[in-house]
Amino acid sequence: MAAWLNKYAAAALVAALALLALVAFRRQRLAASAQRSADLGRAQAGLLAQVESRTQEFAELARHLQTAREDERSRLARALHDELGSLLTAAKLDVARIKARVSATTPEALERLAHLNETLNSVIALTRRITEDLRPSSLGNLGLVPALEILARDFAAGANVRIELDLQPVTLSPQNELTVFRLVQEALNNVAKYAHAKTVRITLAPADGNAAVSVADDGVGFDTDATRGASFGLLGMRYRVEGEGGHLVVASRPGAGTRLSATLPLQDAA
Amino acid sequence: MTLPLRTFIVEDSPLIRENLVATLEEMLPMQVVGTAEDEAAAVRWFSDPANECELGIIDIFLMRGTGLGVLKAARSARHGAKLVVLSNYATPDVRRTCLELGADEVFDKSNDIEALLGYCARLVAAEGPGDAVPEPARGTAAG
Repeated sequence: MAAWLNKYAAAALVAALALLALVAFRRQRLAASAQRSADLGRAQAGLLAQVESRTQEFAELARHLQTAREDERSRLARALHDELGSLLTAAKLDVARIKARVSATTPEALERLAHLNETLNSVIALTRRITEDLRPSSLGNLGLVPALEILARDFAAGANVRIELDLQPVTLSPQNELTVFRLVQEALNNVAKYAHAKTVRITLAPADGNAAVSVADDGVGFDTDATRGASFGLLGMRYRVEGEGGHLVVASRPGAGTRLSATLPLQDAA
Repeated sequence: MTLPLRTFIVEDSPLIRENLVATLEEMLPMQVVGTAEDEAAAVRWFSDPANECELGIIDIFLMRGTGLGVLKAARSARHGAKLVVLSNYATPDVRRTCLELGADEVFDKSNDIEALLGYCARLVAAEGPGDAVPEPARGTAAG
């Protein structure tokens, strides 16, 4: 009897110990798993913070590169305009002097001089076109609306596209005027390269403390989801607009044209 | 023998300055009596009654100062002299501003060189027997 009881107690003890061990094991596993998920959570939060700070760095870099690009273009335009311009003026003065000397004696030399003068005029016109493209002087001299009108007129003449304009004056900082100008320029470049459009409509108007600008074409359009990364021009433009506190929307579907619209904060009247 | 047309030139590019002086003196009975490359020196010259000229050729965008200040000072100091602007930025705005400040003509540095020389030739001719400058028959001046 006692032996049986002993045996029974031993078995119960073993079972209890096993159970205890199991509970302890499970608790340990639970603790380990909690630890792991806490570690994972921390790692995830760290990664998120890193992504956020990298994104911010990237946006700042994009903005810095845009500014650097505009500064570089400005410098180039100035060098072309001032230095090349001076050389061309000097050349034209020389032509005038030579012309006065040879006019009486050799008519064929006069003909070559007239040709040289025409060539110089073409170089001057080309230099002005390049300079204007690098840094639109029309923007500083005439204002945004006339500058856009000139841009549209030149584009329509070169691309055989009809342009409709509905441009109202808006008060923007010089930097944002340039952003609007570059946006329209980029949109028109894309129209010329990809859209096969017949008509482009450009609008500019004040709206709720913003300037709203849009460029819409009736061309072939594209799938806005499928062309990620393909249009760095548009991506750069998005960063540029957002960097100025604005917003850019690209709406397009294959066969349904493309519409670029952006808002940029108006300059305070103060 | 007519007296040479005395001319003062305000221009900050040495290249253009030297070429312009040589061209004017070689092609026409003109004498460049002095040059300046910034606003202060030009205003000083025009404001000194000892200095005399019949024509001032003034560049608008200078390294230091602008030709607009020169134009204003020259116009108030000498009523008789002709003052013309020779600029690489002869946009409609610049043109209008210069004319308002008393410029007689505005020439584009690249496109209006012949027009400038023609203007000077008419001025030389007018300084001779008569005293009026004929209406300038300028071609397509760039805007």
